[in-house]
Amino acid sequence: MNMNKVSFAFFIIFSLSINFAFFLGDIDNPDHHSSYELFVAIVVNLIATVLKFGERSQIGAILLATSLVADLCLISAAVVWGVTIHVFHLPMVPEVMSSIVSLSGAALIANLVSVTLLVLETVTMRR
Amino acid sequence: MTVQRKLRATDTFRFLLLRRIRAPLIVLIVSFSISVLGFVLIPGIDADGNTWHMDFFHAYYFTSYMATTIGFGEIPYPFTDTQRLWTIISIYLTVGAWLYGFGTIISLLQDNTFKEVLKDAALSRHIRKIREPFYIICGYGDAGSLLLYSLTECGHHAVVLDSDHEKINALMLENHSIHVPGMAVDAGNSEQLNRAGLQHPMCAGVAAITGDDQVNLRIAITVKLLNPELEVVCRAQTQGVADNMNSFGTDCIVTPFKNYAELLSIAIDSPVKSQLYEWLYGTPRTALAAKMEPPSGYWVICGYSRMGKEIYQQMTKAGLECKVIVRRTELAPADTIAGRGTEAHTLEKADISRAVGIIAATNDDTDNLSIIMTARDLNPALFLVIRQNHYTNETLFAAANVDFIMHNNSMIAKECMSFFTSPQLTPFMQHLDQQSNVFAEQLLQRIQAVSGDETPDCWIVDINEKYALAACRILREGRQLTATHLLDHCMQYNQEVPLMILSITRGGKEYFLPDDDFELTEDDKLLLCGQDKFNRQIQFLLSDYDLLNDSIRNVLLNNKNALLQQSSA
Repeated sequence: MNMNKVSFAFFIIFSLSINFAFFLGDIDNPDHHSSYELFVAIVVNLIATVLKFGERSQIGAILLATSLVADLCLISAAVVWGVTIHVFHLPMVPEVMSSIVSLSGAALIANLVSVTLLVLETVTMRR
Repeated sequence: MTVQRKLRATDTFRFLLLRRIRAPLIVLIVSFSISVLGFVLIPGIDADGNTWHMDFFHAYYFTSYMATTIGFGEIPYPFTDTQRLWTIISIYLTVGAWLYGFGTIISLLQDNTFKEVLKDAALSRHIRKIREPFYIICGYGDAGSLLLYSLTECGHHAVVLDSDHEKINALMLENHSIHVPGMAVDAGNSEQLNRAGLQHPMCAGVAAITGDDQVNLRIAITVKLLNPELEVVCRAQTQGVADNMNSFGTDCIVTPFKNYAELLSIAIDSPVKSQLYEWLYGTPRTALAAKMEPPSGYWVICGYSRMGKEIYQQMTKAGLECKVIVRRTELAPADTIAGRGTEAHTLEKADISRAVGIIAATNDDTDNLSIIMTARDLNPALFLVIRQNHYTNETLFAAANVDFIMHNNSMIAKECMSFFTSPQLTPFMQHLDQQSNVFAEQLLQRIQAVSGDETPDCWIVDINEKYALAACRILREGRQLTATHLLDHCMQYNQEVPLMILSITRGGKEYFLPDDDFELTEDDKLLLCGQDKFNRQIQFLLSDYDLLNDSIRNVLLNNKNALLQQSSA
């Protein structure tokens, strides 16, 4: 068992799980989506991205790309949230909440691809 | 399994860089997120005494300016002591992580290997982007720098390779009219030759002129294997290496010692021919070489190294009497005199008072100068020939006021240059060798007329679609095009005759010194000689249909006028 590989897989799968945790719930209900979950999702995603740096294989390049997509979506979601509350001083309305959650849904897809690739690579690896 | 394409050094380093910034980035992300989370969770008290929680927006804002040590203060309300305690912890956590992360990235950027890789990548990019024909010069000694000077002066691009870092640094400090990329690598390495543009579509030729015969040989083989179309010119110190190079089709082999020996014997036989050689092979725009007339008779040769040997063989072949002075007589001819030649008594033993000339051909510049000075004292009428080994002694040799200086490296540079820019010159000179002295004298006067006081430039003009579209069009229309048409155009602006055609190559056959009404055809190669400013004018004329038409009409008119005048007279 290689600790490097464990942490690599851990962060990739963790980012998918926590992303899903934030995504789960009514899409326009602010009570179902915690900002703490979004925060953790962003941090875990960023760490997963950095771990994918410097992979030479083709699959490594695609893994990095999916992570970058997920980062972009999640950070956009956080920016939408922050701008609504602090720049426009609006209350959290269902319209904005649904936009934030759908962005996190986009990140979820990217993370799903990432995990699929990881699993595929492991399965096709020769013993 | 197929062989994987070898990744370039740049790629390797980019991956290495990314891997090495992983740890600092993760430390940064983790410390930031801990700090942010702490500020969000810890309650504060606002101005009215109510409990409030910092949101992620403010927490991130505060952490960012705290970690970067900017420190705007406590916002939006003054902190409670709990918050301040967390701030203390956060400061040590994030500021440390920040400095560590930034320090690592900056130290990576300042890494020498990294800088070297960046420089190499920029160089490769520059070479890839060359859109004009260029030459690869392997070896940047005296010969290399003289060749580079001639090439850049004539507007050619070049890439220089030398294993010596110092020489490449010197190249970077020199002022060439065109930017010349230099690589401090072993030129015998095929990988490096490829990087220098060996397989680049615009690469026009390779000059292997390092001081090491084996390296030159390796370069020639590499070129002929990787890009057989490419022309390669090699320097060979010995006949054995020259034969070896010849065996696999090296296009031109420069043997400077042999060339000088031949030149000297030609000069003794026919001074005019050797002068023609000096003019046509000389560096353009320098002063015209004066005539040298080495007398026929008894010669003394000092030194029996490769050069002395070649000269001795060449002179005895020409039926001249000569005597060799050398320190070690084992390999020298039978009646050789032992000694350095720098002392009066050895020279007297060689019967210097009877000699018509002396050749100082040792490997040592100081010895050569000393030989010449001593010999001149003993016999002021001597014709003095001296070998110059190092370019840096240029002023000394100029001051010595001798009749002929043999400088190997400038010979190499001249030969390479004429091979690259006007390869047709070699058959022309061979043709000239068979002609009489009277013929050579006439040719000399014609060249003098076109070149003025400066050494003329020789260049090739291709009559093909790429370089002479208008000329091709006129020829396809079935009309005549002759040398007169080309010359007439240039004469409109300059009253003198600007240039002359030395030879025309057509289908492997050479036509030497064609008449003015020699009809040109497509795919002719013209060897022109004249002031180099007309090079561009001729190029322009040959690709501009209207201009060429005008020139043809003009010539017709002139001819008619001449006929009319004749008939009226």
